[in-house]
Amino acid sequence: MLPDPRSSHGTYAAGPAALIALSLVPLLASCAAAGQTHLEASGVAAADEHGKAAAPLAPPVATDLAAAHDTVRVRIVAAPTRLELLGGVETPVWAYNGSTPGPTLELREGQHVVVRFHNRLPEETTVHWHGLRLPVSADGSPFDPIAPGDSFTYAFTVPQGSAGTYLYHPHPHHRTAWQVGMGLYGAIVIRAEDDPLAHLPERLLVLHDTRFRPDGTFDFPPRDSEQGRLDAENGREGDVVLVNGRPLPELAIRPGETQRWRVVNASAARVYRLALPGHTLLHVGSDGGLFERPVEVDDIVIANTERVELLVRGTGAPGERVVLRSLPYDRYMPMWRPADWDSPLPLAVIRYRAAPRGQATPLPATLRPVPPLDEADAIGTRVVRLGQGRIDGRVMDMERVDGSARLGTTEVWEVRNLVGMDHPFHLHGFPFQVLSRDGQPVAQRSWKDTVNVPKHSTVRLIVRFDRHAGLWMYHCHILEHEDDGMMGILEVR
Amino acid sequence: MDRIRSTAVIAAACLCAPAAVTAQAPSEAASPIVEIVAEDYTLDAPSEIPSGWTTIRFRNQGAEHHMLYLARLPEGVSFEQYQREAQVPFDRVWQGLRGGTIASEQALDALVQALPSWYGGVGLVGGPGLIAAGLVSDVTLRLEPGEYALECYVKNADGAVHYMEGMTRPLRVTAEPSSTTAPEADVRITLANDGLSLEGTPAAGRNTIAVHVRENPEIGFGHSVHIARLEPGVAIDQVTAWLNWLTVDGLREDAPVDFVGGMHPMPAGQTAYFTVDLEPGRYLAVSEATGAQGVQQEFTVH
Repeated sequence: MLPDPRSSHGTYAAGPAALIALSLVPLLASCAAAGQTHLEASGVAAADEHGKAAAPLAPPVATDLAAAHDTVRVRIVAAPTRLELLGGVETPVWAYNGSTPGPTLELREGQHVVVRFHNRLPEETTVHWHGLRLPVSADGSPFDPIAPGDSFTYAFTVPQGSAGTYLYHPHPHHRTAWQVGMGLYGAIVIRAEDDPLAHLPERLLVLHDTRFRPDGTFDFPPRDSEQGRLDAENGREGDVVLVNGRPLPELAIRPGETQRWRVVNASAARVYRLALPGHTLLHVGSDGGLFERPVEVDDIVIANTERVELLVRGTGAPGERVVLRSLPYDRYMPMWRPADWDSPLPLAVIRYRAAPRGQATPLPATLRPVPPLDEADAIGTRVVRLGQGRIDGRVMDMERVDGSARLGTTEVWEVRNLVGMDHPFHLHGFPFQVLSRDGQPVAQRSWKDTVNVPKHSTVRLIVRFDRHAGLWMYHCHILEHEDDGMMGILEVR
Repeated sequence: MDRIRSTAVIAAACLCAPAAVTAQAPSEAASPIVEIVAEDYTLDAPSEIPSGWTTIRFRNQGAEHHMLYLARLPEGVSFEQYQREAQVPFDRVWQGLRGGTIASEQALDALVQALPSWYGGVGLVGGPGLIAAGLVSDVTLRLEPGEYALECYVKNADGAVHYMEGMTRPLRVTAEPSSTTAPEADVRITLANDGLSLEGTPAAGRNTIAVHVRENPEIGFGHSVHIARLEPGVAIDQVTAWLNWLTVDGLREDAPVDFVGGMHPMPAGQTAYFTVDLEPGRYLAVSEATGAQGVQQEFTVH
């Protein structure tokens, strides 16, 4: 039975979200008999014959205006527009270059990147290049807002060894949740010349959950309402999950084929626990790119702004449909837990094409080396205590530096979550490696820029402050929490 | 699982400027003192400690008053269950009070009806009483093995109960015996239905106070003691009124006085200890639930 894409989230499942069930369920049912024609005509795109996601399901790719191969020059405009996200109703959104998600930046290691950004929004904004190693002048932090009507050039060079999947989004002080919630987010793919998985058909899935009012506008309740208070505590969650800007899209796979998926969690707060019934997944990478070895898993947890790379093996039969879903994940304090938190969320429908059968693809046992940051090099341990809305007992003050680090040094950070809900911890500018969780060493090294710290737990990570001095943010990446000041400022000099 | 951290490491982490780097140190043997740090609004505490006599060094590094209430959970009741079925009903009654949907005189009844039947089995074991920002108090008490909930139920100026903002966590007391012993006391406070008696002379400087509960009321919350520094212009009635949590302004910052330490309710017949740093001046030792009925004693430090 095909899923109702609405969850049982209560009051927000009515109205436009119901159009999803009405428009897609019978359509998909009819296509089971008739083949792909209806789906393609509807714009709910199947894969092409190479297994690559065909337009319009994949986000558009940013047009490179540079002539030189070693330079990427793109133009990004943030502006209000109206988009048909649910089918049959237009939603006022804020979008990068007219789409949500915005255009994907396709980059290569070593390239010099120039982004000419134009703010056509009615308020100030920034563009933060989440996870990228770049000068602080290009970070897009709250220190550098761009006024309405103004433009700014972000320029940086993509370091060698940074191949992975990233995202970009606004980061103005106190307004990040609003601006991302209105549709401003996009993905970045950085590729290596020696990518061991370059031969695989690839998909980019950008996840973003939201809520709609019956008139099709986004639901942002007043702060002092019951839902507003819940949003402030938990971060805003919604009953409609958009995958590349569409609810419950259909993705095609061929029996025997292996696809490489890059998944970006661009939600304000929701944690996804990705699972594909009847299938195991090969977890091959995280925020900062590939692991050393694939890991076979039943499901993958991806917290707010984390990214995962995984391999999906087409072990199903021709014509079979399987629903990619998010299994329940309890990140909440019991007093603020939503009533339907334990309902699985359908995300996308995976349809097995009838023919031709995919070629068996050899997979390397080793993906790429991940050089370790050595604890013996660390000059000390920095303890960071996460509260509910505060770090180290304080809310952020743009005039206050909360700590300092020396360029060229390595530190161990002990991030202690002292309260009863998960907080995804993000550090600007410097990727790190997670060493342990509650004293248990992690199974393998990976490059991260965001790590979920579960309730009442401790994550130890190691970071090297190389490359760029400046004032760098660290914060909980639940957008409402960062807007309310769950941030700190680290001066690296 | 987190074990008791050495006092030196915790002290360095907490007393240094926030987010400072401490040099790598070799691990040290567990100290008998359990450091628990209160900030606005977190409790930084180990997840398990040994049983028996236990000294908790309760340090308030926040800007508001804090306390550490320890509740021994009945067998089979989890910390999460305690949060959902006990902490949330208290908050709901409080929200009803401040919203005007529950009258003050109805609040206790509303609470009794909202709490689960197992709540009567929650063990009260004492614990650090109210202390103002920047203060520290050592509290020595006997803890039996079991599962405990730690919480602060002070309200901030906006009316948010601290534990609803995150200031609560579980604690496991293991069967492993601690090496702590009961301290020698400088002053003895006895709590009874007919009042609070104080033996000994509190002096300027650090005092170790023994608190003995001779008896508790048959109904309602038990006797406790909190030491308030009385400032000119603040009446004792203001202090006892402020200590009534089931009122709109009860235990809600800003407090009318600074509290400098105390002890939460314990079963009759038990004794526990707390330290308090006193400067010359007037003080009031007062029971939170029964102070307005006379369980209080003013004293002067010279």
